[in-house]
Amino acid sequence: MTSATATLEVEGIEVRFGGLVALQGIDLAVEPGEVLGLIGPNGAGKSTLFNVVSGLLPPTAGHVRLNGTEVSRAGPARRARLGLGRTFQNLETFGVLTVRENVLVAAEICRRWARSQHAPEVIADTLVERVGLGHLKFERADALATGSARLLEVARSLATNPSVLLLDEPASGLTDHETDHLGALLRELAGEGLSVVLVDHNANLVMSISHRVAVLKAGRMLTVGRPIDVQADLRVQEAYLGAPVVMS
Amino acid sequence: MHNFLIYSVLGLSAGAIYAVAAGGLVLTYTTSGIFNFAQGAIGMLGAFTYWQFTYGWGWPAPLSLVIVLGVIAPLFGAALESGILRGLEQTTEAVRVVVTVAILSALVGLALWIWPPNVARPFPAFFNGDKFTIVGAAVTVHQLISMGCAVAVAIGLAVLLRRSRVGTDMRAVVDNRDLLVIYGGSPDRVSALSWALGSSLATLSGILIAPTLQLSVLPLTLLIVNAYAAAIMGRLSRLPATFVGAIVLGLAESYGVGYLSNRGDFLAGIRPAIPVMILFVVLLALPHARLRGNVGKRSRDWFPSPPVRRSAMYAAAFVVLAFVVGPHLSVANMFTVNRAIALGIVALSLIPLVGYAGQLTLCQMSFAGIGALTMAYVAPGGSPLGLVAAFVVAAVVGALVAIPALRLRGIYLALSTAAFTIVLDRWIFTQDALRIFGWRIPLFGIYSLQVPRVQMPGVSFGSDRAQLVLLSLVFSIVALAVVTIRRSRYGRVLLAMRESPAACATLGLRLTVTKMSVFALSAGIAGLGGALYGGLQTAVPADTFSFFQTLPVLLLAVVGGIGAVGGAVAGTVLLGLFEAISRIWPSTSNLIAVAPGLAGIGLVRNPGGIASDLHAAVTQFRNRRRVSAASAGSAGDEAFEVPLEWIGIDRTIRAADIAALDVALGRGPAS
Amino acid sequence: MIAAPDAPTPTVPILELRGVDAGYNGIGAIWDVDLAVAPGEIFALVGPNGAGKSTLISVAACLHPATSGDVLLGGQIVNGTAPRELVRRGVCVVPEGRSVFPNLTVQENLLLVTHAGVSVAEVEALAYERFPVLGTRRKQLAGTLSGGEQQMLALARSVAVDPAVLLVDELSMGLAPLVVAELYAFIAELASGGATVILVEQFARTVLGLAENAAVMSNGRIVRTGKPADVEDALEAAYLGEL
Repeated sequence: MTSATATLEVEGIEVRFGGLVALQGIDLAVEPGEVLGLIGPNGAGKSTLFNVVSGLLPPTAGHVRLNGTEVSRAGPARRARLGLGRTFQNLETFGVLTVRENVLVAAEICRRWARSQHAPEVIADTLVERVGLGHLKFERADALATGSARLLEVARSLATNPSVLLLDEPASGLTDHETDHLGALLRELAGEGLSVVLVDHNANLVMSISHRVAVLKAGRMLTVGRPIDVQADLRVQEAYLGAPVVMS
Repeated sequence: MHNFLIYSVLGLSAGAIYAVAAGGLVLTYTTSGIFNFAQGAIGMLGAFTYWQFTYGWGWPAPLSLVIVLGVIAPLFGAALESGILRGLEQTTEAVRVVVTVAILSALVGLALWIWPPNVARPFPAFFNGDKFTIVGAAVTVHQLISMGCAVAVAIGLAVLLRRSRVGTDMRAVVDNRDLLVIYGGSPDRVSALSWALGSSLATLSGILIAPTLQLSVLPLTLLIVNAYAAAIMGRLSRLPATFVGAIVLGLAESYGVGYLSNRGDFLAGIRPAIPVMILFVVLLALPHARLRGNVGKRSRDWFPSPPVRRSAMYAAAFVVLAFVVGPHLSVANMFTVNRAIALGIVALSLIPLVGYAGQLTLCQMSFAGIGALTMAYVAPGGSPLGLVAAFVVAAVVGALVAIPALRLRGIYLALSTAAFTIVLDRWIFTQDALRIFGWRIPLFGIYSLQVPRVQMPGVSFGSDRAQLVLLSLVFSIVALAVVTIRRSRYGRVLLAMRESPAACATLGLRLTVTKMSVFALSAGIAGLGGALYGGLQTAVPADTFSFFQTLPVLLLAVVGGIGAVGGAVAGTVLLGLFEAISRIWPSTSNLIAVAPGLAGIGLVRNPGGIASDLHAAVTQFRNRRRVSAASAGSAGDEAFEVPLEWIGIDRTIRAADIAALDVALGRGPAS
Repeated sequence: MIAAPDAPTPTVPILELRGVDAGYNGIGAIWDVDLAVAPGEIFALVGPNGAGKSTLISVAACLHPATSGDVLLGGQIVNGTAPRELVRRGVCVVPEGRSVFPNLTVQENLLLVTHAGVSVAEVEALAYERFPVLGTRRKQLAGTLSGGEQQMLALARSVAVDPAVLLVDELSMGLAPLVVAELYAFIAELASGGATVILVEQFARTVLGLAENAAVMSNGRIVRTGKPADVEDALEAAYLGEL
């Protein structure tokens, strides 16, 4: 499962909370420019996997590699410096700062190591416009509707110029129009070489923009494949819809 | 061996009393999620009330015990919970801590008011200290009663929690508060009940310990810091571990006093510091708090970033005002103003730390004290370099104090800073001098220490009037610096860390460095303020920089509005005003002593503080004028005549509404 | 307990939602929900994660306020009623996840059922009779029970209040098929005894076989209501999207 070019590689990840197995035997590799959809029913372990990859939760076993560097024991800050960005399912915007300041502070934090040619102010202004929040630039982040706050988190994580971006439910709370805009933006970013791992409940979004879709069920990887194959997969349908109960 | 037995008996009986108080603390914390910093103050007030009934009015002791423990204390606890603390559900942990600290402060003021400290109030032990001998050690009946109470409380709590539905409700609330509602129970009633019980237990411990300590407000209030240490040993959730912790603590304290107090060196005075040091060590041994995201509560906190130029104008105007007004002030008024400004510098030091970075601290006056000591040691002639040294030394100590803060947050952090400050003011500061490698650094001692006023070549700040100019100058410079921080990269990082440490970490921020730096900065500013404050007073007693002196500064800064320099200014004005009022009308001085606490309790209603209210009112006024001017009195704007905050609508929503209105009027987003 | 002298006729839904909107912090989660559940039936509410099913349940049990619309219990508007009042009138919610108190014993969990106004002896007798396995674990902490046993303990609450309106959120989550079958058998038995059961399930096919009526939710709205067979074709689009 080792790939010479993969930006993010996950190998044999296992997470246990006491006796509960939250994740087991998870292998995944994401290539530059790829959008990987990660789906699965509630409680399948998607956010847990994100927390393991970003360093907020130590796995019981397994390895995480970023651009070829082993980071299994590294903290979240070091992983960010190696090119990992993420958003959160439960919003983690900096509520008392304005929209622009949210992105600006991210650009400033990474200025010393991201070696961007642009000034943080320029990065912030560009990204705020790019995700479509230009008209809300000077609003406080905690005054935003959920959809706008999610876009803000996307902009903020892009400010560190990551090579891998983990998006946890970025479309929840977005209007259809905003969702379309987000989908287009993610494909555009992938076109520039960014690897995107996308968890979302909006199946239309995931299926339409992902190159591959991985399906988690009860902490295990059920299958990885093209969207069209995954949709047709009976095991996936069963994972989502369940099987009829046989009553004795 | 004989001594050992005596010390053991003393330790066990003290530990028993700590156990009673700590049991109540754990009960209230687990069922309501609010750590009661006022537990000791409640015990103190209870002991005084009991004294009043039994010795003041001569009621029979058993009757007053029943009334105080069975009626007054539980009613008081339940009233606190339902009247004040229930409103805290939607607030941040920092506000919760500040409010219970405010209750502590108010209760202390109240007790000093009702029972003036200059009257002797004998508080004999139960059965007049009768004693008998067990295996060679004398045991008083009072000690036996204390131990008996602890055993009874332990058994009583176990029976209550394990055998009754009310107790089962209490444990159920701990497990899952919302689920109890679904079962048809009432978590609010459970909380009120546990606070009633917690208040009774605090009172019982206060009554039991009063004979050994004598009836005196501050020691009684602080002594139950020991109960905090025990409760922390039980991780604030396990009663058995809490009880064991209390006993261990009592013994450690007793042996410490027994074997160290006849030494001639500075260890002799260690007694009050022992439990606090144990608390500190236990806090350090706690596991690392997991990186946390934001709590999902909409904070109403307010962090304006005013333009530097406008702030500079205000600052300059302030200095000019001080220069002009100074000559017209009476000596007493001058001193009040000077003192308020000096403390105002300490209040300013809280804004980057408590406000921007959201790290709660209760030890700011200790840093100020360290600043004053440094000034006295480094620059006895008043060289301005002493101020620089005061800043640096306090900053270094601040960074050291931050080490536990890297692992702790919320109440644990507040407790560790309280522990630090109490070690300093009860043990270190009152020593004559500190000797390190042959250097002798003079401390405040039991009387006072001479701290010089600043002298520069050609300019002397020796006179009170010159002090006013100096203090207002330094205050203005520090205030400008704090405003500049808010507008800088560093300020944004601090606010971001306050909002979501987890998000900051995933953006690549090293939280350790950031936290230590802001602690150091804040301590440095406080040290600077302390050096100036010391110089102002000239002869400085140790209690100038005690835990109880930190409280009004912290409370008034938070009440003023901890997110903004304007808040520290408002706090400073209040400080000066309070002191002036109590000086001009001495009859109000008791009320004034309670005022900071009452104001702090008021935060339940408005966590944003005075500065944010003023700002909101001004914005409201401006917006209303703008709106009515723009629409020339059209009926559609009626809704904006009512300030929405008055009817409980969040400021953020109002801002959005105004923006929407502006868009509707074709004027683009509001600035 | 619902049946008063002037009892609603059987045609009156026992639980009804009329034009309900609800949300959190001013952000909508469900919109314009109409739902009517007849007394004694098993009703399935299905839809993908995040569709708003749990919000709907909270609103129906008055645990969360509706921003507009009405909730009716036995034909009476109950918006804004205290949850404990509804509990006493027989509404029994089993929320998502194991809805037991993990650090209380089985017996203590049952003791808390008495908040619904029944005696502890009655609760214990009925619960142990229906779920004998619980009787053998009286002193055990609920958190140490198996997932299935925990759900049984949660469901045991409903035997004490009769007739009950039982709202169960994600009963089958994480359980083995055999255990799920046993729990559903209990549900069927409750319903045949006169209780009304609303089953909320992410795994639609698991529950549709059991229900008499069903509704499919997607993105905060009810997109289909009818007999289980009639809602089948709305499922795939709701769950896996359309290309």
